[in-house]
Amino acid sequence: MDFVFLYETFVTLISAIPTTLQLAATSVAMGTVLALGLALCRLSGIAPLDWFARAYIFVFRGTPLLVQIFLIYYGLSQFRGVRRSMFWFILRDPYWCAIIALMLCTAAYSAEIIRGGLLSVPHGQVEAGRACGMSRFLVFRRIVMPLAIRQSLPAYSNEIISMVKATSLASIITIMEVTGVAAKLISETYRAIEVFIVAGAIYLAINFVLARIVVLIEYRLSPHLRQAPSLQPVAAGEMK
Amino acid sequence: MTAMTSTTTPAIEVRGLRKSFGPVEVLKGIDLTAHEGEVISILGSSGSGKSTMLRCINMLETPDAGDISVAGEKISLKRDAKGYGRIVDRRQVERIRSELGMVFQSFNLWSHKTVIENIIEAPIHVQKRPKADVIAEAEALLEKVGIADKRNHYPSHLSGGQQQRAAIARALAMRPKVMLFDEPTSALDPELVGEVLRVMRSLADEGRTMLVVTHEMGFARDVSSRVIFLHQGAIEEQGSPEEMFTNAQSERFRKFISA
Amino acid sequence: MTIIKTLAAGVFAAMTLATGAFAQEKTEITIATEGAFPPYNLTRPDGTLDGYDVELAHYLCDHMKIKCTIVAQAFDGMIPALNAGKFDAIMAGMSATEKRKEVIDFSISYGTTGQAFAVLKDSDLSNMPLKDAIYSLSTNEEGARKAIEELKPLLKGKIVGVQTASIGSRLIDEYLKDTVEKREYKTTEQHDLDLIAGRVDIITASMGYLTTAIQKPTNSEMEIVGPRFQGGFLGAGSSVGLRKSDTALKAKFDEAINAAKADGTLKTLSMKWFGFDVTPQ
Repeated sequence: MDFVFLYETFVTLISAIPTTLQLAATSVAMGTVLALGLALCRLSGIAPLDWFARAYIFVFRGTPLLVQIFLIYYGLSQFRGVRRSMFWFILRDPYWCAIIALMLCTAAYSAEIIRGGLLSVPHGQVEAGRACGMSRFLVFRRIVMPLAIRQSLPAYSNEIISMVKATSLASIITIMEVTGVAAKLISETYRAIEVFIVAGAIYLAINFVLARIVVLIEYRLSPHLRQAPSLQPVAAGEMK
Repeated sequence: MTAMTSTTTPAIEVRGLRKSFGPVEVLKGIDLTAHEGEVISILGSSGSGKSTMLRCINMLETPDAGDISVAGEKISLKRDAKGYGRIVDRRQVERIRSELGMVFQSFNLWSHKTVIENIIEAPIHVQKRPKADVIAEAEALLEKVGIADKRNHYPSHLSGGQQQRAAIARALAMRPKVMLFDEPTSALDPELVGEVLRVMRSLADEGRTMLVVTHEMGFARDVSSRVIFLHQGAIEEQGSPEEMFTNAQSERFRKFISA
Repeated sequence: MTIIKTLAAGVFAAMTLATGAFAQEKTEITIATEGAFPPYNLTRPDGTLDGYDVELAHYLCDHMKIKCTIVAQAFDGMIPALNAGKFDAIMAGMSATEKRKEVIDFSISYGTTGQAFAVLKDSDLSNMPLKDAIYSLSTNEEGARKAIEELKPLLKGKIVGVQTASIGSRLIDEYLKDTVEKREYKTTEQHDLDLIAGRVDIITASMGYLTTAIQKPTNSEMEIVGPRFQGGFLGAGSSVGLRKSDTALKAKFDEAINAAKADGTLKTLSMKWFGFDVTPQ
C-alpha cells in the first residue's frame, strides 16, 4: 500500500465532506417535515389524502433513487415550460436538484416510520391529554409526537445512515461530494482501489459518529424504558 | 328528584342522555344531578353503560341526544346527518374538560414524563399557570397521595397503586370542580386496591364532588352519599347507600350486590 | 499430387511455425468502448454498438486475424479496468495523453479532431472570435495561449460543461481554471442536455463528437463556436489503449492502423462518421 498516496487522497476527500454532510442534513431535515405531512395524510382518515400519500410512498419507494435523480435533474429540464417557470432558479442548480430528489425519496421511507411511531402511541395517553382539556394540537405536540419520536428513532437512524450513503448518487449530476471527488481522483490517477478504500472509510467514519449520536439521543430520551437502579430492591420486594 | 328544588346550581346535570355505538344503544336516556360535595357511586354489571355515561360527561364520548351541564354551563351539541352527536364548540369542551378531573382504569400516565412532569403538564400548558406555583402545588399533592418520594420516577418504575395515586394527583392539579373516576381500582392487584381507595376516601372527606364508576361495594356503601344502579343503559334504581344496601326495590340490584 | 502434397506440407510447416512464433499471443481479445460518444462509438436502439471506433475495430481485428468481442463500458473507469484485465484494449475515442501514458500504453493515433467549444445559438457566446482556427499545443503553444487570452474576457464567470477525465476537462484546467466554473459530467450527452437546459453556458468536447452532436434533432439549438485545440497534452489523437505489458498486441494494432491509413479505410470511415477527414497526418 502506498501510504503517501492514501494520505493525499484522504486530504483531498476531506474537502468534500461538508458537501456530503450538507446534502444529507438538508435532505433529511426537509424530508422529515414532508414525511410527517405524509404520515398525517395516511392517518387522517380522509380518503383522498390517504390515497395521495399511499401513491406517493408507492412510487418513491418503488423506484431507484438513481432514476429519480436523473428524472428530476435531466428529465424536468427537458420541458421548456419548466425552464421558464418560477421554479427554474431552484431546478437549474444541481445541488438543489440533488436535495429535492434525496428529500422526496427519504420522505417516502420516513413517512412509514413516522406512521408506525404515531400508531404505537397508546390511545389511553392521548385520552388522558384530552381529558385534561388539551387541544388536539397540544396533545399532538406534547404527548403524541414525543412518544412517536422515541418509538421511531431506531428505525429513523437507519434511514439517516442510508441517506448519507445515498448522497453519493449526487455525483452523477455533477456534484462534487465525497464520491464525486473520489471518481474524479480515480479518473486522474487511475487508482480505483486506494481511492475507494479511503472514500469508503470516510463514509464509515461519518456513519459511525451518526450512529453513536442517535444512540446517545435515544438513551437520553428513554429513561422510562430502563429499570431505575434505585428501584430494583423495591420491585424485588413487591414480588414476594 | 328532590335535589331539583335545591337553590344551588348542580355541579353536573345530565338530562335525557342517549348514546349508541352502531346499532347498539348503550345509554337509553339518563337523568342525573350531582350537587356540590356529593359522592355518587355508579354501579352496574359490565355492559350496563356506566363507563360510557361517565365518559359522556367530559365528552370523551359524544352523546347522540340529551343535555349535559357542568356548573350550570350547557355543552353545545348538534346532530349530524346520520343522527350522531357532534361537538359544536371545541374550545368550550376543552375548557369544561379542564374543570373535570378524570381518573382512568388503566391510569394513562404519560410514559415519557416523570411523575412530577405528569402532574404539572396540564396546569402549565392548558391553564397557563406559573410554573413555580404549579410545582409547589404538585409537590403538596404528591405528599397527600403518599408518593412524594416518587417525584422523579417514570410511570413504568411504579407499582399500579402508585401509578393510580399519581394519576389522581394529576387530576387534582387541575383544581377540578368535579372528579370523575372510571373504575379506578379494577386494573390493580388486590393488595394495591386499598391504598387507592384510602386516597379517594380522603378526597370524599374533604367534601369534593365525585362521580365514581366502581365495583368496590365497600366504597359505595361507606363513602358515597348516593348510589346509582345502571342496567342496560338506564338507571334502574338510585338512593342513599343505606336504602340501597338494606332495602333495594330492584331484584337485579339485590342479586348484583350479593353476587 | 506431389505438388499438392508438398504444398500441403509447406502450409502445415508454416502454420506450425506461425503457431510457435505467436505462442504467447492472443487469438481472441475483448475491446472496450463507451457506446455513448458518437460518432466515435454509440449504441443503436437495438442495443448493438456502432460508430467510428467500432467499425474500425472490426477492420483492425480482421486485419490482425484476431477474434474480437466489443463491449460497452463507462468511460471514467476504463483505464483501471483495462489494467485489472477486464478487457484487453480500449477504443473509445480516447486520446493518448501524457498523463494516461503513465498508466497504460497506446497504439499510434487512428484519428484526430481537436477540442472545440459549443454553445446555444441564442447565447451571447455564439459569436465567439477565432472561429474554426486550429491551434496545436505541440507546434504553436504560443499561438494557443494568445487565442485563450483573447477568449478569456468573454468566458469570465461562465459555467463550462465537460466530461469527467476527458481532455476537454484537462484543457479547461490548464488554461481557464480561474476564468470559468467547470462542471463535470459522466457522459458527453449529459452536458449537451444541460447546455440545452441552460445550466451550463458552454461545453468543451472533441470536434468529432460535437460535429455529430449538433446534428441531433434535440440539439438543434446548439452550434460549434470559436477555435479548436489539439496536440501537446491534449494528445496526438484517438488511439487504442493497451496494457503496458501487451507489447506484441500494440505492435499488431500499430501495423493494422498503418494499413488502414494506407488503404484509405480511415478516410472512408471518417467521412462516413464525422463528415470530415480525421486521418492523423
